[in-house]
Formats: sequence, C-alpha cells, structure tokens
Amino acid sequence: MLDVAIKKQLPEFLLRVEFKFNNGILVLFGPSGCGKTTLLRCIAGLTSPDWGQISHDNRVLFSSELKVNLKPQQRRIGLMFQDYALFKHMDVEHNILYGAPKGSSLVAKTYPKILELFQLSPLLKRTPGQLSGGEQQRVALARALMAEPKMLLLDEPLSALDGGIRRQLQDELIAVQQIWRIPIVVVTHDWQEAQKLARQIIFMEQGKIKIA
Amino acid sequence: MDWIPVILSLKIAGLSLGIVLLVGIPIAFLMARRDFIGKSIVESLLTLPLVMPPVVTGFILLYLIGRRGLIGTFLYEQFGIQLIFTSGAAVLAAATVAFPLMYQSAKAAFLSVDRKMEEVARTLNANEIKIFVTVTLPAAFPGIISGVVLAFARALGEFGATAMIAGNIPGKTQTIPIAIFFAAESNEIAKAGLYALIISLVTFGLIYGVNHWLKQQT
Repeated sequence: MLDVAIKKQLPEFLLRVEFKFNNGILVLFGPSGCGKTTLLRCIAGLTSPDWGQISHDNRVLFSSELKVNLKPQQRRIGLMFQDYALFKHMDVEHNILYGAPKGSSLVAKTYPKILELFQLSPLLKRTPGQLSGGEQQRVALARALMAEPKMLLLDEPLSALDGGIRRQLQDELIAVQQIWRIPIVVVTHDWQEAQKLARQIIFMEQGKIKIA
Repeated sequence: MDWIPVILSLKIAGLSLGIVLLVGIPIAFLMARRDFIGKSIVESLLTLPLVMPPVVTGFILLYLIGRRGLIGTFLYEQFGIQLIFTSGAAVLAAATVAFPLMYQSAKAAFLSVDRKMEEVARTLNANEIKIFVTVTLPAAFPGIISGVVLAFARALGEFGATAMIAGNIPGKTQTIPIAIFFAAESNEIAKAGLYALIISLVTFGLIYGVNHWLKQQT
C-alpha cells in the first residue's frame, strides 16, 4: 500500500496531499500546474517534501519526523516523464536494458516478454530520434519495467499522442498492471482516460485534493 | 626545413590538452551544477586567461613558478624540480591560456544536457558515477569535442606566456610561434612564412573539421 501525507511549499501555492492507495491504477486528475508532477517527483525521491511521510508496503521512503529520505535509487519506483526523457545517444536496446539488474534471472525472463508485449523487437537498433511518439512511449515504459520497480509513476504518459494510438496504449497500460501486479499512478487531465484507467481517482486543484 | 618546432608544438599542445581536459571537465561540471558563495568570482577567475594579454598571464606564471616564486621555491626545495625555461613550462603556459576555451565549451555543454535524463537514470537504480559516465558525458560530448579542438588550436598558437616562462630554446621550448617570431626578427622571412603557413593550415583544418562533424551530429 502507498501511503502519502505531505506538505510542500511551491512558488504559487502550498501542495498539501494525503491519500492511501492499495493496488491497481490510481489516477491523479486535475488541471496543469496543480502540483501533480511535483507529487510524483516527491514519491520518486527526486524532490523532497517540506513535511510529512511517504511509505510503501510499510517501508518508509520519506519521513520528516524520522529524518528519513531515501534516494531514488533505494526506492525501486519507476518514473516516466511526459516527454519520456529517453537517452538520445543510446539505441532502443540500451535504453530498455539501462536499469535492468545485471545477471538477474528475472531479466532473462522479462526481457523477451516486454519486447513482445510492446512490439519492440524490430526497433532495437534505432535511436530515440528515429521513433514515433507512440514507439517512444513504449520504449520508456519498457525501460521503466526492466528495472523491476515495485511501483510505477507515469506523468501524462499519453498526452503527446493522438486518437487511435492513445486508446491502444491505454489498453496496454491496463495489461501491464494486470501482468506485473504493481501499483501504477497515472497523471492525466483527460477525463475519459481517467475513467477508463482508474480504480481510484484523486482530483487535485491548486495543490489540494478535492474529493478522493 | 626544420621540423623540430612543429613536432615540439604538437607535443606541447597535446600534453597541455590532456591537463586541460583532466582539470577542465570536472570544474566545468561542478560550475554547471553547484551554487556556492563567491561563484561569480571563481567564474571570472577561470575565464580570465581568455581575455588577459598572454604576456600578463606569463608574467603571473613567472612570478609563481620562477626560482623565487611561491610554487617554484616549493618545487625546487621539496623535489629539486625547476620548471622555468623547460618544456614543462611551455606546457603550463599553453594549458593556462587554453583552459578557458575548454572550460567554457564544457560548461555550456553540461548546462544544455536534459536533466530529466539524469533523473530517470536515478529512478533506474544508477549511481551518480554511472550516470555521469553513461548519460551526462555522452550527452555533452559534442560540446566537449568543440572545446577540445578550440583548446588544442589555442595551445598550438600560444606565444606570449610561453615566451615569458619557457623562452626560446631550440628542441626544448622553441614552438612554432616562437620560431616564427625569432625567424622574422633575424629576417629569415621564408622560414617564418613557412611555419606561419603550417600553423594556419593545421588550425584551419581543425576548426573546419570540428564544425563539419558538429553539423553531422545534429
């Protein structure tokens, strides 16, 4: 279970969030600039909250009281940025395997499975610049999964894509959750998408949760 | 035609480039990523040799590494090393004037790296050294290469500071620019002209080559 209760002062408002989330897909829904991305960064360990606690499966990731602040490397949480942030100077294969634990038997099993699920085999030798938006999204997702995360955070994963491919990737996200059985937090400001993906929806505005 | 100054120049420029890389890359990375009190003063000092007359740079170096200089005394008393008027001094002079070019290019390159790639790498369990070597450095590579070429070309052409602390010793400190100066002084115009042509061709080739390469990268 992911348990978040934090405060962080942002330039324009105070981010104040408190929620618990068990499994499945949690959607953070709200207008741009309402603090959703900062919240994801706090969970991943890339930004520190001013106050509060974040724990996952009874493991404390951040606690202002206990003075705990695990590094991103210690959290085992995958994060996918809105623009994917693929390593431009590496081919698809090296991107995907970047975070894969060396010599893990699980990797040997997962890798072919991921290539098949995301139809990546024909793209392995290409660089990110030679991929379409949907292909880049798949590579980024594959890269995050190969690091064997215990949770996935996706910041507007589909906002750069249009119509058909977007619906297809929504289905893939649901499939990923069902296969890996890890909690996934998805940020979106598309209401239809939120409804399709979510087991739980959190509405955010100006750094606060409206209804959970 | 005496090729020794040409070979010596390449050697001295190459060695000074090595020093500039080793010192310049870490400093450029720190200056691009860290904030501290007095940063703008440090920034100005690091860039100073670019705008200061090389003779002044040479004069300061002379004061530092000369027999009675701060560093010179220490080196001589502790290790018996005397740097002044050796090829080591020529390397030091070339490295000092070339440093800002490497530093500026590398810093701009590090600043232009998409920080999100580094952040993603952190969530992919990579430690900071792995991130620097596999993500930051390759992403900054084109900028660093242009710094390498500019610094090498500048080191090759260094005259003022070299003349101050290394002098004109054939086979030891007589680089192409020094050779040109003394050949012209003693009215050996053909010799001076030939050296001038060589150094012009080499530096032009370097700059043209790197520009061409950079164009292909984008």
